[in-house]
Amino acid sequence: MSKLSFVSPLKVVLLASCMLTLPFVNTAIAEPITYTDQAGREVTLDKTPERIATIATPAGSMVVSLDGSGDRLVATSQNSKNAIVEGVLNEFFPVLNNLSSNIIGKEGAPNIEELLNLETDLVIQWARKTKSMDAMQAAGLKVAGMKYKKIDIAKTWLTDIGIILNQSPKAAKILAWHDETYKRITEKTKTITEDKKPKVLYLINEKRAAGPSSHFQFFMDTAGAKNAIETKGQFIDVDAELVLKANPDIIWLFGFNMKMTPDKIYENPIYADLKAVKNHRVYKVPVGGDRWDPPNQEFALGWEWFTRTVHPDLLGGSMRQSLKDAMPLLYGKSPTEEQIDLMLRAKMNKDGKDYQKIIKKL
Amino acid sequence: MSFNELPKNEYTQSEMPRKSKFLRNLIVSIKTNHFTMQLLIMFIILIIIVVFALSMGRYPIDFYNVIKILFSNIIEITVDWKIVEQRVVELVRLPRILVAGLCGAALSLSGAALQGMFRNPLVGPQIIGVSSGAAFGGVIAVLLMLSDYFIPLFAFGFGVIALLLTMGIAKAGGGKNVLSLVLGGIVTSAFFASLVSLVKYTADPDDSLPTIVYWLMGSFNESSYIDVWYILIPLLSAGLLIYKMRFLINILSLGEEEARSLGVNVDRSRWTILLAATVMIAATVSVSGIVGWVGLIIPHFARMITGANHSRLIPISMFAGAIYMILVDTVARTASYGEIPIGVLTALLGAPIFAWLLYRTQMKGWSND
Amino acid sequence: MINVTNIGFCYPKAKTAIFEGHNFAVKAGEVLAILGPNGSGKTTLIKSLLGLLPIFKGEIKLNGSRSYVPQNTLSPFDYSVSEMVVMGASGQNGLFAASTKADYNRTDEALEQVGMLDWRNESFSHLSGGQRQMILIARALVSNPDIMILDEPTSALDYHNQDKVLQMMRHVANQGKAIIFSTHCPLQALHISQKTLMVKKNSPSVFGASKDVLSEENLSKLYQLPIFRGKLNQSEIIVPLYS
Repeated sequence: MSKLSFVSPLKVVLLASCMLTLPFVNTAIAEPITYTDQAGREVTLDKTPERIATIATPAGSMVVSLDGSGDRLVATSQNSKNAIVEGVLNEFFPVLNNLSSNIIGKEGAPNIEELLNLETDLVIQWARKTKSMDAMQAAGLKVAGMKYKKIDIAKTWLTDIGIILNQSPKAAKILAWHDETYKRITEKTKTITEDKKPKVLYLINEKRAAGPSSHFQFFMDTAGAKNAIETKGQFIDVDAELVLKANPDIIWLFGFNMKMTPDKIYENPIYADLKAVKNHRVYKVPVGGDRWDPPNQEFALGWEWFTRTVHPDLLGGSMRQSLKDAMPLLYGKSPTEEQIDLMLRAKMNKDGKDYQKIIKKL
Repeated sequence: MSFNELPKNEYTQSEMPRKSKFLRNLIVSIKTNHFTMQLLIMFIILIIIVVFALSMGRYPIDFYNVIKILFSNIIEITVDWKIVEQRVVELVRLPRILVAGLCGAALSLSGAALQGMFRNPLVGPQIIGVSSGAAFGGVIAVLLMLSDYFIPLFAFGFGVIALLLTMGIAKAGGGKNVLSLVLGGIVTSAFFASLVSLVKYTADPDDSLPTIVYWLMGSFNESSYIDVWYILIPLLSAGLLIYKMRFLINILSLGEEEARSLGVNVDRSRWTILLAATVMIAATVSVSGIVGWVGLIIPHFARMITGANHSRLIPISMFAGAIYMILVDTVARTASYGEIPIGVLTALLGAPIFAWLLYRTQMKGWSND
Repeated sequence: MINVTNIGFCYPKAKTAIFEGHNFAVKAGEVLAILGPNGSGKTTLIKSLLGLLPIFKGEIKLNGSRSYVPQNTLSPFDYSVSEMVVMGASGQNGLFAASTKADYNRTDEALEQVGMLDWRNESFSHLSGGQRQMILIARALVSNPDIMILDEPTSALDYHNQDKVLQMMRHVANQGKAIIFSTHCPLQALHISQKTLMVKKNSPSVFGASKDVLSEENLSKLYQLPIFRGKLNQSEIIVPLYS
């Protein structure tokens, strides 16, 4: 066994004695963390990982949030990087501008040797990509699997990354804030009768809308709204005629798709008679440290924003204030007014009905 | 006016193509006597290419360390390299190179057999519809969010279904001839290709769609030793079957009637070859997605090296396919930060080569069917 | 060697037969010429004799093995002469037929017989038409058949090569094999075949000794053209009188 020949007997003795004396000398040194990941695999981390690559998408900004810095994140998927650059995260943590996205690319197929080159000490991959996880483990990379489970992602992923980064209390704090916000909102929205719930169309792109079995339905339920799309399914193909037939009161535009803006909907003559267009109730979903469309650490902010666009007078306070309060908890940073405007897409949504009220300064 | 007396020999050298005697002798000797030599040379090139590919990669490893790591498996060598280097060479690069080489060999072998059987050097493994069928199976597995290890199973299953469909259509077309088989293959291919498009359309654009698109373009990324077995077992079984039929393929390439008049059971031999080729094509698709053009072009080059006789063409094709695929895959994994899908590279190289072949080759073979 | 009684062939679903009511017999060492205008079913008849097409009535009694010499071969691949010829030896050996050393020895013998041994390593597709016909005859000889069936073996050849092929056929027949060939040239039939079968669509076939069957009357009816048969310097000639 030539592979082991470098472990000389002397080293073994030294190592063993070190391990024996350690508990007595310094109990503060971090113990190895072992937890079962969402692919059902044991993950053992001898120390808190310092160079993390995330392939599974919302994990990147979760790492930044729970760590309170951008120092531990070295590579993400193209999608995550886009959100980081589009929002304020790269302004909070300029080091994230150097984040590599081309190693992982759009397709979740990382170049394993490049990951080794970056001295990555943890890769966060989709749990069902078992082959990829095996291959990376074989190459000596540590891998944690994360399962795609609609809205549960916020809870399960934050909890796991909390364990990985030794930041479980902070993860718990964020999740408690989620629960609290959810309660605060639904206390008001659950009393709204069906006939008072406006119809909302959640447009993913020009040809697709969110259906009742997507996680977007949860936003509508929380916000006291109905889905304008009744066809069962996750993503429903729509065309102009279907949109006209659905005649939504409100349209939310998916945050990922930057080509789709409220102005384009307003200017389209086909949509001129839609209630949402006549009343100027087309809103672009904001991007904070990460996007508000998928479930992540900013979930609670999303709920509040969605609710305020549907029922502008239902909740006290202001979206601006809630965002201002949440940022220190999420990232340990206080945003400037300009950054808040950027996040809330104040410029893009300026013509939206009640939008100035929604984002007013207190 | 009268003709001059011809020399005694009935057929004179003047009737031979105008080649210099030296060149002709050289070609003759290469074609007849030097097959073992050719094999040996191909083998040596393959070994050189493998070692070269092992030392290439985004993770920098000293060439001598690569050699030392390789030899440390045979002889005792003091370990003065990093453990991670050993892992990269033995667990990242080697399985990947093996899988790429085996896939190249399997595709070229099936390509050579199909070209012989269809009597057309411009036929590739995709023509019988198996690639599309297998692709659809793999795509379904991705769409259903199944674990990655289901992809080979589905790919193989649907590959076989596609072949049965091709056979069924060929039979229903009443045809026993090659043309109805090719038409059946085209229909099957088109059918499964549209199913793949349908799946792509319904796939979640933020989750499964990119995976599907990437997988379809083909990649040897994340290959492991399990994949080596996935491809080695079909290659050893179905490949050996085809190799055993190499003389029969020669006869089949003469056309159905002639083959039958020479005592060959044409139908049985054809389906045996088709089935064996399906096993290998489906296996390669399941491991690496659709890697086009290799099975089409490599047999042609092998034919230039060793002639048309399938008993030589098949082994040489396998070596050439393995060498070509390892080279292209080395480019795919080293040329950029990310992974370039290998199907894109083989098509990029394949299309101009194919055009050149079209230019060179007269469309013989089917004109008399 | 071959006894054919009243055979007929008809494609499935077709109303009229391609041929019907042929009767003939060929003995070992005999040559049979099949003569007939285009579309008279000569090629179909040959395929039926080879067992490539099933007959729908009548009987073919074969006493021995057959082999076939096509007009030309259609392979798009460039095989060498010996590779081409050895295929005649390995075809019957089932799925895993292999060309053995013995097969190659027989190949060389067959090439020797047709006088083409020196070309064994040449490329088949580079040969001239006459040479190719010789190679295909050698391929049929490799399996040492009792009956050799040739489809218009001389139709694409010049006089010199026609003569060579006819000589070779006679040579093969002299070894005690039965030979059946189709041709458009009555003179060839008269020259080398003991028996002739005349086939014409929608009329009964004529079979018998060549010198009797190939009469001016029969030939003129067959080709609907006056045809002269006579002697020139002791050799018999047959000449069509073109209008």
